[in-house]
Formats: sequence, structure tokens, C-alpha cells
Amino acid sequence: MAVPTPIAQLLERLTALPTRCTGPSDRSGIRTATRESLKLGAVHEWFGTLSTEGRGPVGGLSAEWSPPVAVMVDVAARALACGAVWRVVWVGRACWPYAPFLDGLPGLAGASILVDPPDGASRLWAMDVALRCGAPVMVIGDGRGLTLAHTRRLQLSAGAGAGLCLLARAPAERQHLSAAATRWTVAFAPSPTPHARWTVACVRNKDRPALTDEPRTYLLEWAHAKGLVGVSAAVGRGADRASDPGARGLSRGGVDRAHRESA
Amino acid sequence: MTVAHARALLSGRAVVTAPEEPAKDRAGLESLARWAVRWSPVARADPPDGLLIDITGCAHLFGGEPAMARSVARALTRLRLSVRVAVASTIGAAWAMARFGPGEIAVVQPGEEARALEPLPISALRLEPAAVIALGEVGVQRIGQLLALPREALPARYGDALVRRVDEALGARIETVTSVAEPPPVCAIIELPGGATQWEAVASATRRAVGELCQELDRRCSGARRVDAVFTRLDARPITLTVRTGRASRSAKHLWRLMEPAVERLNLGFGIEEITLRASGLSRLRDAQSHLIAEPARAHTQHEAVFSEALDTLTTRLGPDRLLRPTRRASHRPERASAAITLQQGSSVEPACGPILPRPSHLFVDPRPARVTALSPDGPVITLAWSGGESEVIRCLGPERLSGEWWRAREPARDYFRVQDRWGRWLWLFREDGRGWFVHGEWR
Repeated sequence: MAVPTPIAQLLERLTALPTRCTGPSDRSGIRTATRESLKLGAVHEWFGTLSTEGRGPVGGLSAEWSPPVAVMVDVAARALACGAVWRVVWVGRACWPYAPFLDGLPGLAGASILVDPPDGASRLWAMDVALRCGAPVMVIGDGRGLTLAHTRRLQLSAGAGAGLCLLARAPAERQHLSAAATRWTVAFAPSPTPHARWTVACVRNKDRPALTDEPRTYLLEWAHAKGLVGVSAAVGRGADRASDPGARGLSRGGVDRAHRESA
Repeated sequence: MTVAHARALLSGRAVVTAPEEPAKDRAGLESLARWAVRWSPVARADPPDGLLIDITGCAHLFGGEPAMARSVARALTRLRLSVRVAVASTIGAAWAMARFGPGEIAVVQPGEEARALEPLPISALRLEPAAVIALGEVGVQRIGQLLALPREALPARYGDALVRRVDEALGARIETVTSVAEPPPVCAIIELPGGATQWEAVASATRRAVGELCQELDRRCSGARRVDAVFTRLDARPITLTVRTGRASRSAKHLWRLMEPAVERLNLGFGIEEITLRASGLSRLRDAQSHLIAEPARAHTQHEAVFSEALDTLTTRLGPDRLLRPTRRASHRPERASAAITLQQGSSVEPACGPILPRPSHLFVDPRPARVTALSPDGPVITLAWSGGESEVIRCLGPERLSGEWWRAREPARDYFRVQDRWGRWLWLFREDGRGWFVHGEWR
């Protein structure tokens, strides 16, 4: 049935009214601690966690994958705070956060749903269902073993829905093809403060291609009960090291001495 | 009570004995509940010895709550039953006052539940015997003493049921009465003469039955939380499929989406000759008014609806145990400070109030043994070896002593350290007397 003309006019006028912005996010993306935005309706891959020097520490990491939980927790908290998403679905036990870690991040624990699929196929299906539901939902999934076809499927689902998808992937899979809009690597970084630090590098951003081959690198620190804060934000590895005293600790010998003294 | 005890109490009077018949008692109680519908349309049996009547909006017809309570007591006394009647805003408070209250008839005014319950014994909260014994061991005999304890400490020691019962009694958690006089079930029946052996035919018929069921639900302004589909097969046992939803639904599309994967896997045998769908768990579901312009509040409701449907889809395939909600527990022990509860278990327990302590983003399910070199028993840690590798430690913070819970026997205290290895990775170590060092978590 056609809408009567006065109603149609009213609708037109009301639709033209400016909408109120409620947070640091716009409709297109979520501002992260790196100051770069993650686009809604897309898949974003996070490869973690490697040591800064590119090879795994002896204890644990060589045999076991460490998904970058803290970075994804921070993105989820920011997305909830700015109203870009309304629920967070964690698919795959490997990337579930420890609940006390979420203390101080308002609303995140209450908005979280944990899904424990029994196998890889169910994991992909669960992420797909959550992304397609039509509600603004952030899906954070264990992305181990996903192929190009799988990521393309998730990208289509995310595009069809109103949310976004963060995939935690193993460092060894970085060479695999993927349809993700952005790809990030996360590495442990020595910190002179009592807080954990990571070096986060954007190795692909389809919407903002890099002018050089050097990835945009950021040093982030977990501020207790606040989330991630950028210790420095600069383009390129050289600039990052030069501008930040913590990043200077990437030269290992200096860190060892300085930190042992402070400890 | 034994027969000998009864004879002793009656001091020589005749004692009539009869065998205990719980099924018969239950049937009698059910019929009594149907009889009690004269006071309110919502009444049910509360085995083994109670009746629950929801008198919301009915009391004024009988001259108010006290007069109604007297009327109920008189009517049941005429049936030669000993009766105690209580009226309260919550089922928990009424249950407690009827069984443990000072008089045979009690009326608790709204908001007075806590004061009325305080002098009563803790058994009045409908607790498991083990919880009553455990509370008794620490000297908590009355509900007033229990209410004075810090609420956040209770679930870790006595389970979630204790807090749930307290909340139900005080009205912080809703508890409803389901009437014995339930409306007739909503059914849809499709007959397939001769038996359908093609999956397409069965699927089409099931889908039509789902449509008819939803039309009937629509006519009754209701939604169903559960639909049972019975497929009657030729020369074989019928197969029953059940789908459950988190919210009441009458969306044919949604219910069919939940049912379709199970129907696809049906063993049709020699053919399906009848499909019966039965909806249960009905609740009122009004039509939603459509709106000219999307508003945030209404958009939120729509998001809830579509997200709930997605959760139903996940639950149907993965099972209810695989969809969880993270929750905090008030426990010093890291492995007990967090739990994952199913969505059906409802709201989570509130975290303990207090300072927010630095905790890792990932906790290992089983603490991993480690070899540590430390300058002194209290640290700082110099080197760390675990999971087949060794690293020097460049930063060590701690110890943070987390004592064992005193109500659990033989649980020693642990000293936790935050250490950073040479690669920059922060780990959470602990040392336990007699057991050595373990890596318990990691900042990932």
C-alpha cells in the first residue's frame, strides 16, 4: 500500500534530520587503540602471538598458539562503549578471555556469549550464523585452519549483517590467502612498566593501502582496568623505535639490564 | 515419625496405620489444586504437602487478603485437613510463613518480607539439606543471620541455589505459579495416507504443519518455547523431534529453520503416515506495532529478537551446554573466580566489590609445572623453565598471597608472581607449599 503523501513528506523531513553521534565510532568503523579504524561489516584477522624477534620463546609458544586475546578484548570493549555493536560472541574456547581480566571494562562480560563448537566445521558455521543474524554483533573467533573460501564466506556474512568479525589466527597461517579486510600481527614486547605490552602491526588494510612495504607498527600497553593504550603510534618500524623509550627496549641486551635493575 | 513414636505421643489412644502411597497423595494434591481454582485461575500443587495460589487481582473479591486467607483455611478445614495459610508477595515468603510462621494464618505486607522472614530457621528458604547442614556448622541458624552475611561470598561456599532462594523469597528474582488449569495444547496434525517415503514430501508436510501451528498461536496471541514433532511411521516406532527457543516464538520461518536439520536426518522407514506438532511453554506474545521511523529503543528490541533466533539456531545444533555466559565468582582462587554458565541458567552472579586486581587474559585449565630459580623463597624469580624451554626473567612482581578457602580442607595458600620473560611475555606464576612452582596464566 502506498504511503499517503503527507506521511511521506513527514518521513522525508524526519529522515533528513541530522543524527546524533554517540561516541568515537562512526557508522563505518571502530576506532582502536592504534588509532586506525576497523570497518564494520568486514573480517579482520589478528595473527598472534609471536615474540618481537619473530621466533617463539622456548616455553610454550613453539608448541602452542597464543591468540591475541587482550587486543581483541580491547576492540570489543571499545565497540560496545561507542554503541557500534551490541553483543560479543566468542567462538572457540581458545580465544575465550578469563572473566576477571574483563573487570573494569564495563558491560563486556554481560554482553558476551561464549560458544564452544566441537570441531572446525561447526566453528565456521557458528561464526557464520552469528554474523548473519542481522543484529550488530561482534564475532571473535578462533580462525585456525580457515581457507580462502572460508574467509570469503565470513566476509560475505559480515557484509550481509550489521556486525564485524575478528579472527584470531596462528602466526604460521600468515602466508595463507584470505579475504579479510585487514590483517594484523601481534608480538610480545618487553615493557619497562609493570604492564604487558605488544607490538601491533597492520600488514594489510584494503581501504587504506600503505604507501610503502613497511607495515604500520604500534606499541600498545595494557593499562590495568582500562584496556589498551597506545604507547606510541607511528608509521613504520624505524619511527616507532625512535620515538618511544619502551620501544627502545626492543634491543634485547639493554632491556635485560635495565629491567633487572628495576626488578 | 515411627509408629512407636506416634503411639507414645498419643498415650494409649488407637493408632490407625496405612501404607505410604506417594503417587496417590500426589494425585490427591493435584485434584485439590484443581478445586482451589475457585479462588484464582492460577493454582497448582506444591508437593508433597502444599498448594500455591496466585491471588493477584483476586483478593478484593473475597474482602481483602486476610479475609481471603481465612476463607481458604475454613474451606480446607471443612475437608478435614489441617491447614496453615500465608499470603505474601513472593512464593518463597508465603512458603516459609505457611510452614514456619508463628500463626496458622499469616499475611505479609509487601516490602515486609525480609523482616517477616528474619526470625525463621534457614530451612524455610527451601534449601537442600546439605546447605542447611553446612550453614548450621558455621552457626547460621536463622534467615536473619544469613541475610547479614556478605552476599558475594555465599555462592562460592554454598552454591548458587542459596542466593537464588534468598532472592526468590525477597522478590529480587521472579518466580511464577503455573496453573493446573492449563489451556488446551496447540496442535497441528497432517495425515499422509499410505505413508510418505520421499524426504521432500515429509519436509513439505512438516513445513505446512509448522505454518498451521503458528497460525493457531497467532490466533491465541501466544508464542511457544517448545515444539514437539511426532512422526508416526508405518511398521516402526514413532520419532519425536523437539525444538526449544530462548524466547516465545510463533514465527513459522524461525521454527522451521530450527526443525529442518533434524527433519533432514529422519529415518523415514517404510513411510511417514502422520505428523503431529504440539506447542508447549506458551506465553502471551502480542503483535508488535510497526513504526514509521526506526528508533534506537525499538531497534534494540528488534536486535534482541533476531539475535535470540540466532542463539536458538546455535543451541539446536550445538546443544545447550555449548552456549555459555561468562560469570564472576567471589573466590580468591583464580580457577574458581570465573565460571561459564549456560544461557538457560539465567543471570550471572555479581562480582565481588573491591579493588580490581591485575589478572591474565588467559588462565590455563591445569596449572603447568615449572622449574624456577629464585633469589629467596619469596622471589624475585631469576629463571623460569616450563613446557620444555627455559628463559631468564627480566621483571618479577609479587608475591600476591592468595589463601585457600577455609571451608575446603587441605587447601594451602599460594604466592602469585607476575613475571616477564626475556621475550616480553608476561606470565602468572604461583608457588604452593609442598607442590612447587606452576605457571597458571598468561597475558596474551
